[in-house]
Amino acid sequence: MTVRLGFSVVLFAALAVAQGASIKKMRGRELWAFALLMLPVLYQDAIYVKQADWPSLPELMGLLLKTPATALDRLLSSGGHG
Amino acid sequence: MTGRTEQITPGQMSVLIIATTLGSSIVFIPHPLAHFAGQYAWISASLAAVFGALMLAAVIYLNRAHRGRSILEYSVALFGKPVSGLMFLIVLLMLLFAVSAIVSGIGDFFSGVMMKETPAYIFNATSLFAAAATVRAGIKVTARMFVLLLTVMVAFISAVLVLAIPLYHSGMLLPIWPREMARPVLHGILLTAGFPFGEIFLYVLLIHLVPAAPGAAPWRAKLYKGYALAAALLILAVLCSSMAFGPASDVFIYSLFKLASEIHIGDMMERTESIVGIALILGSYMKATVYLYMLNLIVKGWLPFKDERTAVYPLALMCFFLSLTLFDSPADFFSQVYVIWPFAVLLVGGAFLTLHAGMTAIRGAGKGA
Repeated sequence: MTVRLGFSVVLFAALAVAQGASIKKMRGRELWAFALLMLPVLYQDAIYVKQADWPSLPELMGLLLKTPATALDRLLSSGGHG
Repeated sequence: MTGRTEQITPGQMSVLIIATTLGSSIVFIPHPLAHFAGQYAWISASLAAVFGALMLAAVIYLNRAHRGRSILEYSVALFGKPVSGLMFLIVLLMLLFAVSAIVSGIGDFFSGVMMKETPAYIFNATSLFAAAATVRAGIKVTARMFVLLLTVMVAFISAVLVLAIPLYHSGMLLPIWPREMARPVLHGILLTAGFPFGEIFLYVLLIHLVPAAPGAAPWRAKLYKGYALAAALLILAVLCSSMAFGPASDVFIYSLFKLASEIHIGDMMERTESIVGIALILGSYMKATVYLYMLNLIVKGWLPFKDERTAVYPLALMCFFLSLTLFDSPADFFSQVYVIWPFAVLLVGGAFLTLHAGMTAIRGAGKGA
């Protein structure tokens, strides 16, 4: 966990260095929009650092599609091939 | 990326299409395709390529009908903000998954085949940083650079396919114990129609970057030619893999890499697999870059950023974390990328294009923002 946390800190520090100047210039709606954008990033980071079994956003969509996709896969897999 | 809308030439758009269609798939696809379709893999890939061409036709139809407007503009006019927003949210999630899976593929390849002692997150982070920096440079710079990279990639893969000619046995294309053809072929079509051919539907987000000009028919033909070239190369790679390994192409995860490692011409031409490694990395990097650009295009359409590049690094960071957490094991990667993802592309991509094309036809062409 320490390595993952350390690596995350490095990445966020790099983001701050790369975009710090433009973030400082942001005001009002633009700043709120950036904060909104960072929310899922922080959520994904928390999953990564804690190795938590929380669902990610794309996984939620995958959950909806998993059953029909797997059923179709099973149906087609039962056909033999040489 | 500048304040005004960037534009690229039809030739550059074709390069992007070839880069994303071949991209990572030329190295990744032969293995799952052989797993699903056996010796019929190349038949499945050929039929799936036709499906991709239909998707491209729908993309071009929408571009022509809306006179080169961005889909983000005319989708709102066609469906209203809530429905359009929901559709783009789904596409956004798909792109997040795609970029993460591509980058995860690069990391797995490196840490599994070439540099086994180095953790995958180093490769994932490096690949995504390169992709994000390229996206920030703008689509025009990206497309120009990809002309060179694509040439290198195609040249390397063609060289391997040609040098491996002594290994091919056409008899390997025949099934050893034929029982049924329809279901394996259909299974292969389901896979390749989704990944990579069906992914062409994502170009509906980019096609407005090619300026509409009088006598526009020839430039649209260029897109078909680019797509046809990519499809032909991919089918050829699948065919060569089947002819070299027969049923065993199901066993090798990177069959093109394995094919290259089997090339021995005297003492001077050995260990050519590293050039397939370069091709895989180049292809995956190009695909991740284009998809990251698409992601940024959707986000900047929603959020009020003055600088169009603001969202690129945060999106890349999110994809990085996703690439390290989405897949629990190689089996999970196989299931998500080769079973669920193709199905999602067919379902979502097909519905997305059908709804837009249908509504355009009903409400009249040119209905836009």
